[in-house]
Amino acid sequence: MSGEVIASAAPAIALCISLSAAILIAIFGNRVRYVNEGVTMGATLLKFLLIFLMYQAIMDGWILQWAPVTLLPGVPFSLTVDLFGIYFAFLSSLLWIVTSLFSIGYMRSLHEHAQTRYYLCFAVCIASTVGIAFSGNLLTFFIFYEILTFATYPLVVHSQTKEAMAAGKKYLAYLMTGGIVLLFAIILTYTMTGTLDFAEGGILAGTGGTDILRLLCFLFIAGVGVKTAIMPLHGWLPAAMVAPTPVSALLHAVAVVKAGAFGLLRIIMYIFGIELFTEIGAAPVLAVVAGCTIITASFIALAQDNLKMRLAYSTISQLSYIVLAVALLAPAALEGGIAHMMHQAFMKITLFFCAGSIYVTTGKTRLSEMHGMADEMPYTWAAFTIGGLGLIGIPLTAGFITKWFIITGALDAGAWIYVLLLLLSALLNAAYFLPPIYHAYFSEPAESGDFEDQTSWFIKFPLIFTAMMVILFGILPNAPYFPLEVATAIVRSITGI
Amino acid sequence: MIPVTDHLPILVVMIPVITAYITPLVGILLKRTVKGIAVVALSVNLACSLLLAHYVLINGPISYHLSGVPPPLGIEFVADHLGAVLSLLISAITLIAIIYLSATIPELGKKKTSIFYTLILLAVGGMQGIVLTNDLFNLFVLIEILAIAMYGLVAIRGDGKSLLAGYKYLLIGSAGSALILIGTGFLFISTGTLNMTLMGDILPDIINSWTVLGGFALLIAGLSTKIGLFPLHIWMPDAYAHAPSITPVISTLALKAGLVALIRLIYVIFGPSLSAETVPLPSVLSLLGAVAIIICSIVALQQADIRRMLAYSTGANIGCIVLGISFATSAGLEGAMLHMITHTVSKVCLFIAADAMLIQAGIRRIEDFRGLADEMPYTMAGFSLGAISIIGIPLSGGFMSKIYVANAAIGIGLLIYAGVILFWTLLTALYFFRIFRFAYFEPSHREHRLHETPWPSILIILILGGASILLGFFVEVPMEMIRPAAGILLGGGI
Repeated sequence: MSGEVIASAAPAIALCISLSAAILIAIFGNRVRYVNEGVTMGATLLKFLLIFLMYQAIMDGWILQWAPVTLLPGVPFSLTVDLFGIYFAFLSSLLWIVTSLFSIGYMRSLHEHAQTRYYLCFAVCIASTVGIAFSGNLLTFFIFYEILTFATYPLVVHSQTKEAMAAGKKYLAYLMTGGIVLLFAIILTYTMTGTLDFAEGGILAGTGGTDILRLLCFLFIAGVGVKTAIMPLHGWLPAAMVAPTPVSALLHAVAVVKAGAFGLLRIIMYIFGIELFTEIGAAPVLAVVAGCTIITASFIALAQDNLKMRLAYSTISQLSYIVLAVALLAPAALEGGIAHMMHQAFMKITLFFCAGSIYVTTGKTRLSEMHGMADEMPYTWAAFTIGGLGLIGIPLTAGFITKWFIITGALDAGAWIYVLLLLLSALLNAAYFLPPIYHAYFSEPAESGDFEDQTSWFIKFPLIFTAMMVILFGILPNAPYFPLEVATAIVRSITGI
Repeated sequence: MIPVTDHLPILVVMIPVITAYITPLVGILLKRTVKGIAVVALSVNLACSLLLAHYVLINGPISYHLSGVPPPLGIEFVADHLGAVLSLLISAITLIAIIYLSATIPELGKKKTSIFYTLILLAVGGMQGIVLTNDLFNLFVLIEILAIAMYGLVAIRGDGKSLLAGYKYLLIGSAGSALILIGTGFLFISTGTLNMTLMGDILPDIINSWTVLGGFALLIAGLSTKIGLFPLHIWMPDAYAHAPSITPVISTLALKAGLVALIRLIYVIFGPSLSAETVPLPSVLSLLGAVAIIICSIVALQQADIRRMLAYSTGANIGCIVLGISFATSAGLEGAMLHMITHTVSKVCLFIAADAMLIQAGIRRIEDFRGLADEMPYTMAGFSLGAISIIGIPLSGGFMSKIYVANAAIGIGLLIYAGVILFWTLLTALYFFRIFRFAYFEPSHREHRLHETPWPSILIILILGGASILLGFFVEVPMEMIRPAAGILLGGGI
């Protein structure tokens, strides 16, 4: 992490905002009306503001660090904010605001039970996601990574039905096992290097033989691969679809899966270092796994009739774009991968918001029941169309930009096969997103009878906002604070070009 | 006037013991003051332990000769960092437990009150002595004092089940004591001294003698019964299930005192290099520790009674500590000592919370936890905090100590043991998540809504729960004492 390191409690304060929100909700949530919603919104806005201010400092070339206590010799509990960290935190906290709004609309419309628990866990999730972004070393990263796992569990099993409890069990089994494997790799790294800091160029170079490094690489990727939902470690993600839709949006667009992708990038770029990662020959294997995941998940998505399930498999496929981008080891692909982390987040969250909006308004979850619905719900289906087109990679959307960069990177690396694979994947994306859109606009509704669009603005505003952002990212990719612009700066600082 | 600090090592032991002797007398004359006297005595004891720990941290270990007679003839007490930190832990936890005990409804008849407190104080004195003595025979005597008090505490209810549990404990414990005594005899015959440090000087020359090796084996076997190392943990579940609430708490500490004796045996008397090279100690003890972790956790999964489950969980944790001790490296020893502290704080939190639930609502079986988070939110919150630390969820005390032990295992190339410790986290999570699921996500089947525990108990539970979490963040605080302790022990004691 290049730049001048200054001690600052700002990262800790950012975390504490969400934690104090959690405490307030825990104490007053059940007693005072509107505390849940008010505190949640206040905390997300305050946090976003603080992170925005920190962003300015980072842009000036500073690195903020807060390392109050030592955990292991040479390994402090370290919140260190560098460009990559603030990038993830900034866009996540922006998405939190809209997700919180959406949550309010969703929970109110459905008169959901246990709202205090819901908002409480939500606040802890925000805290841990930002904690992941701000982690200055692997141990701190792991701490927040695991807290995120446990804080999302009550959200997954929110409905407390048998099905939800079973899904929750599966969720924990996958993620905890992944966590254990990751922890094993972390301790192994610590024994080999005596440090766990994220450093540009990595910390592992020259510390062990190729075999042990390969083992370590395998353990790391298997560990974070669970959250990144690389096949065959993806089983928890479709199961977790029983959760309320704002939670699915959170799990599949922002917090959990992106924590995995962020961790993967951190480990490859800041623990191994791109050079060492190339040297031990891990990249081609990872690329093959990612490629298989992209195609297989797309085919499975085609067969889903449940909208949320289709989105879930689409997420699995899209996440492996990021993995593939890293594995190609070309700077352009890396830029595309890092930008895709956030581009995909905005596109996928739009689609999940739409799924939630449709469910709240009509109670429908299956695509075959959604024919001709666009007349009644124009905003929702417009946003759905934008999100869908974005994921296909149509020009003037965010998805096009990232796919362009990844394909350029694949060409640079001379990996023709992956260029073809990416094009095939775009076709498959079109095959599973265009028919629902077509039917919504042009097919006759299965059951006659118009209904009035009574969707709350708490629900409509977030999906309009994220859909607009998808377009903006596509038209002005290089605007300041936009993902691609920051991704370019991050890759420049790592590769030194 | 003699400065008090010079006599701290013996004060810490004698205050509870002397109070124990006068308690029955006071019990006859002034029944109501028994509790008060116990609380005062343990408070003074805590103050002494604090002073001792402070003194040791600043000035280094103290060697104290009883009656002013120096070794080899006299008995020596050594307050090194290990002894001081464990002494502090014992005083603090017993004081908290006693306060909790005097704040709740007495479960035993009034007749038994004074004998009950006598036994507790006696056990505290025994534990304090075990962690501070540097004399092998004195160690045996103190172990017996502790053991006899413990038998009494297990069987004090006097009904069939608790008598049977006490009898089982007595059988295994007495066999262990006999082994310790014979082992002590073997070593005394071979070396001509009972002082641990002096033994440690003499033993390297005569290490190939069968008498010495036999003595070592007997002592390890005997201590294994005291610390409940697999497969000699079988007395624990029964002893915990049918005893009054305080017994598992005192026992959790007593196991730690036994572990200190084990550490002194391995590191002071035999020394790390002899233990590791001449005797295949690492392989045997590590294997036992690892097996204890796995088997006890699997058995814990099948328990329906909360206290039995916690007892088996303790068995697994003892395995982890023994694993750390057996590595004979400073990292392993540090991890083991840290785990001793974090496990004590978290497990005591769990036992007290479980007891509050038992007294308040009669909850004993795990299925009774249904809907409990709704009805007793604070007690359940404290219970959850303790459980989080026992599972090893970051960032809690248990998480950090497990990392230290796993790190030590990888440090000497035993990746498999690090794997066992991490896998163990999953097993522990399995049996605690069963409780969490019942408590937080399932509705209550009870006809009447339960009342929350009275606030003094809640406060104690939450303090212990908070401490077990905060130990993870402020891990440097105990490590400040533990690091020099490990350094001294690896150098063969003072």
